[in-house]
Amino acid sequence: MNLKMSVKRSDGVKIYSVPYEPKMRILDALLFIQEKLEPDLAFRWNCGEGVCGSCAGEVDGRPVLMCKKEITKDMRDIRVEPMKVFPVIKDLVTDPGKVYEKLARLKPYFTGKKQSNFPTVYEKEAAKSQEMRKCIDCFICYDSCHVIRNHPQMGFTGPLNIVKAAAQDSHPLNTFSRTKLLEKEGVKFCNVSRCCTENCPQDIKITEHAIIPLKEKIISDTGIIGLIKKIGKKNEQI
Amino acid sequence: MSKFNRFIFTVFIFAAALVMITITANFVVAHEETSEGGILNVVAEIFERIHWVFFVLVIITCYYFRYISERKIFGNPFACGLPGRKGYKGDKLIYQFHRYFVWISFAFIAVYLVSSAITLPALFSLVQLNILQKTTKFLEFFVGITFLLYLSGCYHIKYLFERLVEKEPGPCRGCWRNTLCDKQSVLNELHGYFFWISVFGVVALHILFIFGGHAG
Repeated sequence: MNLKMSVKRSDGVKIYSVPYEPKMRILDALLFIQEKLEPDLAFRWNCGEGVCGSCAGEVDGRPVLMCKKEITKDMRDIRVEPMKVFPVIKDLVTDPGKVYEKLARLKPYFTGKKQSNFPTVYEKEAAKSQEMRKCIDCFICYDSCHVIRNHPQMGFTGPLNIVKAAAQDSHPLNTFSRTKLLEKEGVKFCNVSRCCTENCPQDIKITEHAIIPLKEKIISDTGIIGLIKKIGKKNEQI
Repeated sequence: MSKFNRFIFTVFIFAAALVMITITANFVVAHEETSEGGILNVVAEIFERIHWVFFVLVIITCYYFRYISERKIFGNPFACGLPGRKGYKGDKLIYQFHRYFVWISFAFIAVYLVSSAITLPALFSLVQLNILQKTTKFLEFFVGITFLLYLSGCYHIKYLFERLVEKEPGPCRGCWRNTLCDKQSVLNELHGYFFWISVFGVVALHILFIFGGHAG
C-alpha cells in the first residue's frame, strides 16, 4: 500500500509515492523520499523524537512537528508544506529570523535592578516558570496564530515571544517590568482563540498561563485611568 | 456558514434581551404596585432593573465566552490553520472592562444570595405558592450560586491571587495566600463548566418564569 505525498518544494508542488508502514511518521516518509527518490529535498530535522523542534512544518494545512505526526490508516493523500508565516529558504526550510528580532525588543534577559538575596523558591512558583521553559522553539505556535498569518501589518509579537517574556517575568530574580514593552508589541491583538495552545507539542498552556496573565498585568499597570488618559490624548490630537 | 451563524447569534441575543427586558419590566411593575416606597425599595428596584445587564456584560467580555464565540460563531478562525475573520482589528478594548463588570456582578450576586438566604426558608413555607413557583425560586438560588462560582473562577481573580502570592516573598508553603490561590485555581479550571451551567440555568429559569411566574 502506497501513500500519496504532495510536497511543496521551491519549484512547485511535487507528488511522491511512498510505501506505507504501520506507525510511520511524516518525517519517515520525507526521509524515504530523500534517500530513494529526491536526494536534493531540503528539510530540517535533528533529534527525531520531538525534543529539538527543528522539523516543524505544515501537514494538511496544520502546523505540526513532523517527527511526532504519525501517519494513520485514513491518511492516504498527505500535503506537506513549509510554515506559511516565514520566508522559504529552500523546499521545507524556512527562515524564522524575524521572530528573534521581535523577541530582542522584549528584552528576554536579566535587566534592571539586581536582587541582593536569592529568594526562597518553592515548588509552585518554580513550576509556573518551568512550564514556560519547556518551549523548544519549534515556532508552531507562531505559525498557527491567525493574527500573525492574516494580519501581519498589526506587528503582533506572537505567542512564542509572549512565552519567553512570561518565562523571564516569572523568574524569582526578575525585577524588570515588561508591561510597556508587551503593550507596544501588541499583546492586545491576541483574541484568545487558543490555536497556539492546541498545537503546542510541549502542551504549554500558552493562552491561559502566558497571554491572559500578561494581558491582565497590562490592564493593571495601565488601568482605566490609563485608558481615560489615552482617550484624552486622542481628543487633543483631533 | 459564517453569515448564517452570525445571523442566528444576533437573533438569539435580541430574543434573549427582549425576554429578559419583558420579564424584568413585568416584575418591576408588580413590585411597584405592592411596595410602599423607601430607600431600600428604590435600591431593590434599581437592582431588579439593571442586574442582568451586568451579568450579560460579564459573559460577553469573559475570556472563555470570547474563545467560544470567536471560534464557533465569528470564525476567527473556525479551526486552527484556517484563515481568520477579515477586518479583525484586535482585542484592544473589550478585555479591559471585564474586571469592572466582574466586581459589579460580585456585588449584585452577594446582595442577592444574602437576601435570598434570609427569605428563602420563609418563602418555601408559604402555602399559596405552587410547586412551579417554588422550583423557580430554588433554581434561581442555584443559578446564583453557580454564577458566583463562575465569577470566582475568573482569570482576573486568578491573576489577583497569584499577585498576592508573588507580592509576599519568603516562606509561604501552606499559608493562607497559597491555599487561596490553590482553591481559586481549581475554580479556574472549572470556569467553562460553571459558565455552561449558569447559561443553561438562566435559560431554564426564564422558561419557568414564563410558565410559572415569579415567586416574589
